[in-house]
Amino acid sequence: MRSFGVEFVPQELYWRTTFYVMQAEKRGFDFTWITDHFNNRNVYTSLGFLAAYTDRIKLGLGVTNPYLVHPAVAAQSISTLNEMAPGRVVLGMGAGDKTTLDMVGVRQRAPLTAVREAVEIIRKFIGRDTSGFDGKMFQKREGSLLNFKVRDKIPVYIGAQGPKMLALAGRMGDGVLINASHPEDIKIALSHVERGVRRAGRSMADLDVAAYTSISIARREEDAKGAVIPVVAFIAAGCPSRILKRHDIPLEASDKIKEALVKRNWGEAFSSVTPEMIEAFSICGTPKICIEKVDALFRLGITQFVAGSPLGPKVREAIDLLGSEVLPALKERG
Amino acid sequence: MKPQVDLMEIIRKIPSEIQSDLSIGLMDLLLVSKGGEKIPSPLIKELLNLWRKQELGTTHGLKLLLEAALSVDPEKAGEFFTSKGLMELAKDLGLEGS
Repeated sequence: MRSFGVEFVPQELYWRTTFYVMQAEKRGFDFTWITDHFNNRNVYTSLGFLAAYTDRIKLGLGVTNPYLVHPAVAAQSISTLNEMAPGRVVLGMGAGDKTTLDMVGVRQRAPLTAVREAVEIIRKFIGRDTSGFDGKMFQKREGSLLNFKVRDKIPVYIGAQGPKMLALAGRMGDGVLINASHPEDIKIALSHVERGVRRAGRSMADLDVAAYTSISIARREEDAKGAVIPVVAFIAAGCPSRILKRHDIPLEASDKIKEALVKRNWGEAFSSVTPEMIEAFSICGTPKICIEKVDALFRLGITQFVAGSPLGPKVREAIDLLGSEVLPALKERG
Repeated sequence: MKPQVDLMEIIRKIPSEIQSDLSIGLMDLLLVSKGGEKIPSPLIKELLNLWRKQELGTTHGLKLLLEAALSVDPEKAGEFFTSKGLMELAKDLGLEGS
């Protein structure tokens, strides 16, 4: 079964994000994932508003982290959200974005432990489990409960890129959000997820495996490329060296972009993005090209395709193109 | 501030066959224009409700879109109508020469 998600970064005014999510719902998307960074609009209030204006689409936190939001507060928030959109809430939990955490002096300490313990505590709260939890980073006293019932299951997805986090997702996630767009990266990520799945005695069928991609779609390939360059610049600048190496991208090329971005020299940063970087870190092109590239990811074993930023030069048109041409073709092939 | 005009009166002059296209164009303008925060919250909610019901292309929807566009960027709204060949409408709205 193939499903389709779309990511929005709430940098935009709340009503614009809402408009786009409603459009995505009409166009057949199954999930929307709203990112969580303290310097953008708040994800929970954004999702609350979305709950009121949508009927079917699943509402995902894509993804929150346990450093800025305590797991108890995350559990409380998604449970409240579930009252507004029963059965449509999905939690994405990850280690957070180091650069953003650094801005507020929060150290990304023991990310695997933090994510694992956060997921365990959240599940206890939403499952009305009165038992205690004594973790290294987070605790829950025996008997502690939310003062209201959660009537639906709230699946927990783990956002992951590194091998250990991917394996953790395989061990305990209801789903995994793999932060990658290229088949080679997805293939390797899947092998780590499978390692975790095996270790926990589970099956891959127990998980929704989502490729959280960066996509840019337009009628003309050049327009799609123009829109994706800034996003690819940020991905290339923050990319681990092992992944750069995998795509034959010199570390110096990534460093050059990083340096330009730090100086806010956008022109230099964006002009340093190469076609190889676009190929490695995004899905970019006409609907026909995008169909083939996304289909290749499904054939590797993903079960959900998430269309992430920038979507295209014009967001509304990109959602229309995805909904009217890409999704139907991919559903038919599934 | 442009002179007080009856927006509904003006909208009624728009040929029905182009209403849907106009609503998309106006929505696009609202989605990308600076100053989107100037649109009053009740108007936003009404627009979203109409969008939900696929009614932005109705005369009522167009009226609200126009109201929003005028509060965000009257100059761009004028340019938009002129680009669609609706110079008379831009004139009625007091946006001629925008």
